[in-house]
Amino acid sequence: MIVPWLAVHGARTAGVVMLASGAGASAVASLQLTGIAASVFPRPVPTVLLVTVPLAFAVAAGISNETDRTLEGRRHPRLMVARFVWFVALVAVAAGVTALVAAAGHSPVPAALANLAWFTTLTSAAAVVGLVRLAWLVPLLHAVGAMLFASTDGLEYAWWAWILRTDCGAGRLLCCAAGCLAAGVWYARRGAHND
Amino acid sequence: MIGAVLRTHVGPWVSVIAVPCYVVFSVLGAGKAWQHDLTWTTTQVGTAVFPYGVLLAGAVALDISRVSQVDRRHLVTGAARGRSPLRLAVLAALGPIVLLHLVVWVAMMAWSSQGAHDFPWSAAHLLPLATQVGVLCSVVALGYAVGIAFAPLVAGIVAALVALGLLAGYLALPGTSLEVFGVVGEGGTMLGLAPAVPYYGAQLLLLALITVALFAVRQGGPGEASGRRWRPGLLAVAAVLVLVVPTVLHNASYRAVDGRATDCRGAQPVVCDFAEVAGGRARYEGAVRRLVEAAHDAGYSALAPAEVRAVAENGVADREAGLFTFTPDSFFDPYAPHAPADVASVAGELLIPRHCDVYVDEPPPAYWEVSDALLGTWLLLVGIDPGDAGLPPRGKPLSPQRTAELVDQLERCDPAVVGALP
Repeated sequence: MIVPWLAVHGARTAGVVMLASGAGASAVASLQLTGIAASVFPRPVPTVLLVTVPLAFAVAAGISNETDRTLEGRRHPRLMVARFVWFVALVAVAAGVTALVAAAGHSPVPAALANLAWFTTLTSAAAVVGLVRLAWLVPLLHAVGAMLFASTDGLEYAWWAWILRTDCGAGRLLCCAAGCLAAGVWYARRGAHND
Repeated sequence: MIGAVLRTHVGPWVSVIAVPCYVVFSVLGAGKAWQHDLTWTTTQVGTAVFPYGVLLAGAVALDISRVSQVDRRHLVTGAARGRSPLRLAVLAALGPIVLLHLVVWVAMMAWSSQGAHDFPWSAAHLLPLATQVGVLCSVVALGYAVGIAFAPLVAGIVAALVALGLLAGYLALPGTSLEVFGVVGEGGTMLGLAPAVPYYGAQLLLLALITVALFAVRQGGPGEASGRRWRPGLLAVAAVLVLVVPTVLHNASYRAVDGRATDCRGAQPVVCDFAEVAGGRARYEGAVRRLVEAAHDAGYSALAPAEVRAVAENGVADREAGLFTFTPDSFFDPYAPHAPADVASVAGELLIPRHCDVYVDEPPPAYWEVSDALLGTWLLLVGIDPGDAGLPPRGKPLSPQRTAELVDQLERCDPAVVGALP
């Protein structure tokens, strides 16, 4: 049962992306992008927080498949449960990689997990609407935008650049997790076909 | 055909995303302080390449990966009409973005040159622009090679992340081999400086090599299992680049061109600045005159120079500059580019012995004692408590004689004060 499921989903791609992201990020886990000019890079960027972009993309790649179109619109309870469980499993693996990399770089794990949840919300939504190949676009725009506009005065982050903040309260973590779960439910109800 | 390309390709649409990037990063960047500084204006145009360059690489990779799947070409390009779908995908992304870049450069240069005169223009000033276009070409070539090598599902993100690594890596780690992807300058004024031809020539050459090497990746024939063909020479080229780049690009990217300012105004003192920044003098000139007049009235002739002059910055030492000089970014605050400079910071800048290599080596403690004493004295003469400027408290100023002795020590680059030369 599980083998056909894996075969029609981007399981291999997800695994390779997660493995490569984890290995690559571990190598530079403690690195910070410091920037050279206030007008370009106003604040140092912890690279460990950026690795969550490819990990979130891996989740989107994992839930997409090329045969789901035939099941589009079907809302059989067992199918929806299977999709949701698959989504949670992928997120769990990505979260594990994120936690390992963050811990290796002595970076805050909760902040990295919140970023993963937020980016996964975006990438999964893109996968559900059939744009999995471009699922990286919006998270990367948010990440690059935050790197460039993280601070307007060199001291404080702009509110929307919260993905670069290393302090993470329970509220932020819960909000991001709720968004991620909502994306998972959406995926469970609609599926994610990849043209 | 253009309609078909726009419907089936992502690359051309990056030009649309690039428009706000140019507005936000290039035009409005640095508080628009790049105006009237034509060298800085050119480098300022390049700042937008970083954010959209990441997307450009990903978009091109996605397009190339899709059209390189032989069985899908008819779906994404409409009628082939004898055109190579790969070439079409590359040109559809590269053409509009290069055109947009040049248009933005022309517009910003026209805006920046309003009211400017006596600009020491040379063909070398086009080199930074050429390297920016070269970086765009190499980013597209990166997307091309990744698109050939990876499946559509992952080609976009792989190319985007590699481009992010190259461009952000350059910003974060200047002075490394990543310098070849440099599209922005030092992030500050470049008055009195001109692009160094050897530096930019080497960068252009390396970018061309990288671009050609990446475009040399070819699709494999129908019988080749991998579906793509890597040329062995590419690895050799890449290895040579890695070895050569750090040695070629370690030189300064700008050189001083007539570091002396020629736009001189007023008397006692005469204040000379670069002609391009005629409107920027108001930020500091009042403070300069207040300082010099106070010293003159109090009999401190050593602190009342007949001339105060701008010299070039960015690490280019002017050995004939002497004291009472300032650099174009001495009074530049990126967060308040048009705010008037405060008197204390102006006095501090004028007392820096830029001709002494004082910043090459760590100056001895005596330097800070002399500097603080002179600065505190000067501030007391204009009625400012040195403590308010973050200096050690000082009850009364130095005597005029002692002040003259210390100024003379700085003028002579006395090793006891500024440290031994390297």
